[in-house]
Amino acid sequence: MNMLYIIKKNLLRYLLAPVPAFTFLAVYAFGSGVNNPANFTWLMGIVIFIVTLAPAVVIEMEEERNKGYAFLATLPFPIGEVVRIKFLMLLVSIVALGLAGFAILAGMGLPAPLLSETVKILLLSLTLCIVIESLVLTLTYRYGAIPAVTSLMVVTLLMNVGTFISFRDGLPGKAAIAGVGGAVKDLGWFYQALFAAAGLAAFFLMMRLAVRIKGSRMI
Amino acid sequence: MDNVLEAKGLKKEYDRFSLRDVSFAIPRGYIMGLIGPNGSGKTTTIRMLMNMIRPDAGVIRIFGMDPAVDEKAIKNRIGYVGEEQFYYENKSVEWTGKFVSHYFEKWDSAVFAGFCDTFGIDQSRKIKSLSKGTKVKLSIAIALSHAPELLILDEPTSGLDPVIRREVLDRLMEFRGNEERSILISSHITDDIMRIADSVAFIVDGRIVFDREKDFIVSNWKRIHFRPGAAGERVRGSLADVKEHAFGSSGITSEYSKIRDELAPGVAAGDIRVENVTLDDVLIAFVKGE
Repeated sequence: MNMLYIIKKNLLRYLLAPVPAFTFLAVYAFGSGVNNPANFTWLMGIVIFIVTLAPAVVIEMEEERNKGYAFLATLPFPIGEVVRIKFLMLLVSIVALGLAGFAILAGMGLPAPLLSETVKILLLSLTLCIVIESLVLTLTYRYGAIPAVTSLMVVTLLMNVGTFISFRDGLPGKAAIAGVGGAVKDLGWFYQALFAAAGLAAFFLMMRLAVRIKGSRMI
Repeated sequence: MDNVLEAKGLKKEYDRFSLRDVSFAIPRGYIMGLIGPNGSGKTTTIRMLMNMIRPDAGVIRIFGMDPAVDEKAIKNRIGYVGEEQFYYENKSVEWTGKFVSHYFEKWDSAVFAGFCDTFGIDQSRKIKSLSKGTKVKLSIAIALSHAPELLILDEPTSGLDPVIRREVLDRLMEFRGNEERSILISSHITDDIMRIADSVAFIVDGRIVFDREKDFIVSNWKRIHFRPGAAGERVRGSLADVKEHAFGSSGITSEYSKIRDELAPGVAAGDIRVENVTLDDVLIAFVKGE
């Protein structure tokens, strides 16, 4: 079980940001009261995305700076195991924060229909986190942490600009966003589960790809 | 004699370099030197042995196992010192020792502490504060602290001062001990190889051009100096890297044992002088393609 020491080495990074972020979210949810639980849940999804992706990327930047994989490649274990461990740490952190999110939603005392809607939003957010973050991590192994994160930021910026422009009067953006919100609300649990399963499948596919990429470029 | 390491027909294509059909074997108890100029393929070969690079073709067997399949079992029995020393720079020597100790089945913390003491490595210091020489010594300490049967060393003495170099070489000789353990050491510092190796493989432009026991090289490769007319046709035909100078000519032969009798009268008359060559001379002869 010597992989535990890879986990131990990186665990602190995964605890640093989520603990204060979720403490803040919990205080906000239970303290001041939330006017719009749906928006709050989307915000929670964004927080989960940031506080789980950031440590994964920082860890890889640190590995790049130290040429950590060149060091690890001298030790008696396949480097692919390290990649798998890092992917699984990412998945566990997303799921753990997702559970914390569900606990917050459950503790907010929302009426049943609203609780159902927010849970669906959170589940969708977690699925998106799993897919996008595994993609970013795979790109990190292929092109390096900085290019991968820069690509993500550029795509996010373009999406935000696009959303901002489409929100202007006469354009269909606002209606489209409202439509997405409505679609999530009306999405059946079967399709939610199917979507989550597809997200997990994509995650494991990315992990496999990353293992292959890292296995062929350790130095 | 059983081989601890066998490489057969290793190939690797890069844009500007290719490793071509590299084959060699290291018998148990042997120290093999891998000599070649910079960029000749020494590091690529060693990284293939360590399963850090996948060969395009060829077979590697270490302790009879395939590194791509039995990586864990093989690396537990290998001590490796790379060309460059990579560690987590913000971590201490002590942390590094503890970290690697979890992965090697036969790690001995007392041995590691002993090497740190011997090498003057302060375990409380951070890796980033260590000099290049100290990092090499740390790598050697790690490589020797898990009872390896084979050491694979890629330019371990490159960039070290002569005192540390000698210290490192002494440690390697100590390691071989009862000749049950083997070493593969690559270097372009041929003096180091001459000092410790039993056999030498010359790698030039991605190809093993020569692979023999050191004693064979020492006894068969000589530099012959001769006055005009003192060397016969056969002697002159066996010479490479021939240079003319004011007192006559000189060249390197790889067939000294075959021409020794023919040289004897000239040597006795003082017209021919035979000199040992260095591994540098042999390498240069191969690089020049002569």
